[in-house]
Amino acid sequence: MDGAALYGAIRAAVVEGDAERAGALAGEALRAGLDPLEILDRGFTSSLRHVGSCWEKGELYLPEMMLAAEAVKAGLAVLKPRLSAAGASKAGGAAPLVCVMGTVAGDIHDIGKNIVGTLLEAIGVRVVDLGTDVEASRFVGAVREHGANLVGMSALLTSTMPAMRQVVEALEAAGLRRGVRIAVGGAPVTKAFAQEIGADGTAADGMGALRLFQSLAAKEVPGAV
Amino acid sequence: MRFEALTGQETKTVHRAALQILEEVGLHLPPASTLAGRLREAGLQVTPEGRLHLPASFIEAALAKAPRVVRLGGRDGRETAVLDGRRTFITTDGCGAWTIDPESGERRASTLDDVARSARLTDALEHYQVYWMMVSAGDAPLPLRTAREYLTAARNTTKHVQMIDVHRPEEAAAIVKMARALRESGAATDAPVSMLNSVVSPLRLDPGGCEAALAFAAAGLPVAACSMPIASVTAPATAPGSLLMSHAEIIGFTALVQTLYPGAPVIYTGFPAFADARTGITNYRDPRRWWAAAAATQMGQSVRLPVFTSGELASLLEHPDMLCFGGLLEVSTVLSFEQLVIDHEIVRDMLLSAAPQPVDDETLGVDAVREVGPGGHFLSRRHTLRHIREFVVPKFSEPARPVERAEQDAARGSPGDAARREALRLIATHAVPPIDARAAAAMERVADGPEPARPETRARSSPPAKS
Repeated sequence: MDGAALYGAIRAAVVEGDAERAGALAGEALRAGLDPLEILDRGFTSSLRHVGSCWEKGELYLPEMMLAAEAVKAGLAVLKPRLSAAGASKAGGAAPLVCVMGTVAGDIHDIGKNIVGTLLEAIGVRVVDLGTDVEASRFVGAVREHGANLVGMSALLTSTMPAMRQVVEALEAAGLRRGVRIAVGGAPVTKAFAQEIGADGTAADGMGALRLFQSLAAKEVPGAV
Repeated sequence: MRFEALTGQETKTVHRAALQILEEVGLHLPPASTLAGRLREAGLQVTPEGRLHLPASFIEAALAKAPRVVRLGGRDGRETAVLDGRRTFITTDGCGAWTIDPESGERRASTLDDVARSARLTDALEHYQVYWMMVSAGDAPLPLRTAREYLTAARNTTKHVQMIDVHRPEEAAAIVKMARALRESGAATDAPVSMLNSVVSPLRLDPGGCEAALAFAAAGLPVAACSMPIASVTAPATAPGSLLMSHAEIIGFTALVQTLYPGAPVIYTGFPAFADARTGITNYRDPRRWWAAAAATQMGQSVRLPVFTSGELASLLEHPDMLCFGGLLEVSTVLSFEQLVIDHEIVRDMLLSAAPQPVDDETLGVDAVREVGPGGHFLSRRHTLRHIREFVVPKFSEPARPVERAEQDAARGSPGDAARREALRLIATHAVPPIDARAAAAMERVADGPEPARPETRARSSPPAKS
C-alpha cells in the first residue's frame, strides 16, 4: 500500500474500532518508510478528529468512540518508540502532557475516570491512573514523581466531593499547584463547585472532559514540575 | 391487574445466569479491608486479588435465611410500612446534591434545611409512606453529616426514613444509636430507619458502605441491598443484561449479609438503568427502563424477598413492596419542591390506574341505565352521586378545561407555579409532632458528636399548627 492507501486503511480501522488492525497498519506504515510524526498526524490524529466530529453530529455513540480511541492507542503504542518525546504531545503544548488521574478518597466509582483516561491516551497524553479511593498525598506524590501538568479527579458521592478540595489544597501546600491544571468530574460535580474548590474546570461527560483537558493544556501548558 | 415482564422460565434463566456469574466471576473487594477479614472469618474465600467466588449452593442457602416480610416503622410507632407483598408503598426519590430554591428559583447546593423542608413536605403528602433521604446536606460537616441528616428528617416527618449516603461504619453506628433511642423511649416499635447500600457495578463491593450496612443488619435495622447497573457502561448493553447484573449483585450482597447476620431484614432493591448512548451518563428516559424495573421486581419476588424498585406504572403493575417516584430532576441530582407536589399527584394517579375495579351490579350500574333509558344523561342519578367523589380532579397536571379557561389560568401562572405555592404552603403550615423528648435528647447528643463548636444543625423550627 502507498501512503494514501495506508492512511485510508488506518482511518477505516480507527472508525471501526479495530485495535489489532490499527496496530498492524502503524507497523506497516513505519516499514514503508513513512515519517512517524506524519503517520501519527495524518493517520491516527486526523482519524480521531473525524470520529469526534461524527460523535458531535450524533452519528457515532460513546462505545464506538471508545473503541476508536482504543484503536488509536494501539497505533500509538507501535509508533511511540519512533516518536521524539516532544513530538508525542498532540495537544499542542511544548512539554509532554502527563495527567495524574484518580477517584478521590472514600470513593470507588471509576467508570467516568476510566472513560476520560482512555480518551486522553488516544490524543497522546500519558495518563498515570492511581485507581480508586486515592488519598490527597498520593496525588501529590504522583504529580511530583511523574512531572505531571494535568490532574483529573473523579467522585460520584456527595460525601466524597470534599476530598477533591483536599487534593487541591495538598497540591497547593506542596508548592505544585501552579504547575498543574486540575479538572474534576462526577455526577454531583458542577462548575460552581469546581470553581469553589479552586479547580480549573469540570465537564459533564467524557467527550466534554477531553475538550476541557485540551483547552486547559492549550491555554498555557505549565512546564513539567 | 398484573403486567408480566418475564415468563416463569425467563425468571429462572436470569437467576441461573446470575448464580453462574457469582460463582465464576465473583464479586471484588479490597483484599486487605476489614470486610474481607470478616468474610474470611465466616469461612468465605477471598483471593489475594480480592475476588470472592460464591457458589450457587451458598447463595441459595443464604437467601433462604432472609425474611420475606420486613417492617418499616415510623418514628412514632404509627406510620408502618409492612413489606409483605400485599401493598406497594411509595417513597420519594433520592439523593440529590442540588436543590432548586423554592423562593429564588436558583439551583444551589443542598442543605440541612432542604432535608427539613423536603421531609416536612413528604410528611404532608399522603401517598408517600417512606422518606428516602432526598438530598445530601452539603452544609453539614462530614463525619456527622448523615447523623444530622437523619435527625433533621426525623424531626420533620413521622414516616419511615431510609438513608442513602451512608458510606462509613461510624456513620451507621451513630444512626443505629439514634434508632435505639427511639425504640427505647417506646416511641418507635418497628425500625424507624433503614439504609440503602449499593454494589458498585460491575460486581464490586464498597467496603465502607458494606460495613455500614452490616452495622444496620447487626442492629436489626433493614438494609436495602441495591444495584444500579447502567446498560452498555456497567452492564451488558441490553435490558436483560442490565437486569442480570442487577440480580447477581443484589443476591450476592444479600447472601453476604445473611451469612454474617442470618435473618437480618434485607430489601431486594433493583434499579437497572440505561446509558445515554452518546455520553454514557445515566438516561432515565430510556423506555426499556420500565421493563427492566418491572422485571427486577419479578426477580426479587422469585427469591422471596421484599422488593424495592423505581419506574412508573409498569413497575407498579408487578406489585413491588416499595416504589420510588418523585421530587428529583436531572437524573435524580436536583431536588425540586414543586416537582414533589406534582409527582405526588402522579403517584395518586398511578395507584388508581393499578387498582382493581370491582365488577358487580353496583359498578355496572344497570339500574341507572334503565332509569335514564335512551338519550338523557346520568348526571342527576343517585348512582352517579354515589360514585362521583371517586373521580380524580387534577390540580397540578393538565386539567380538563375549555380554551378560554386555559388562557385565564395561564395568565395566573403555570401549573408549576401553583405546585410551588402549594409546596411552600404545606411546608409552612403542616404540623409534625415532636420527637419524644427523651429520645430527641439522646439523638441530639449523637448528632452533635465530639466537636466542640458546630454550625447550626437544627431543622427549621416547627411551623404553626394547621389550625
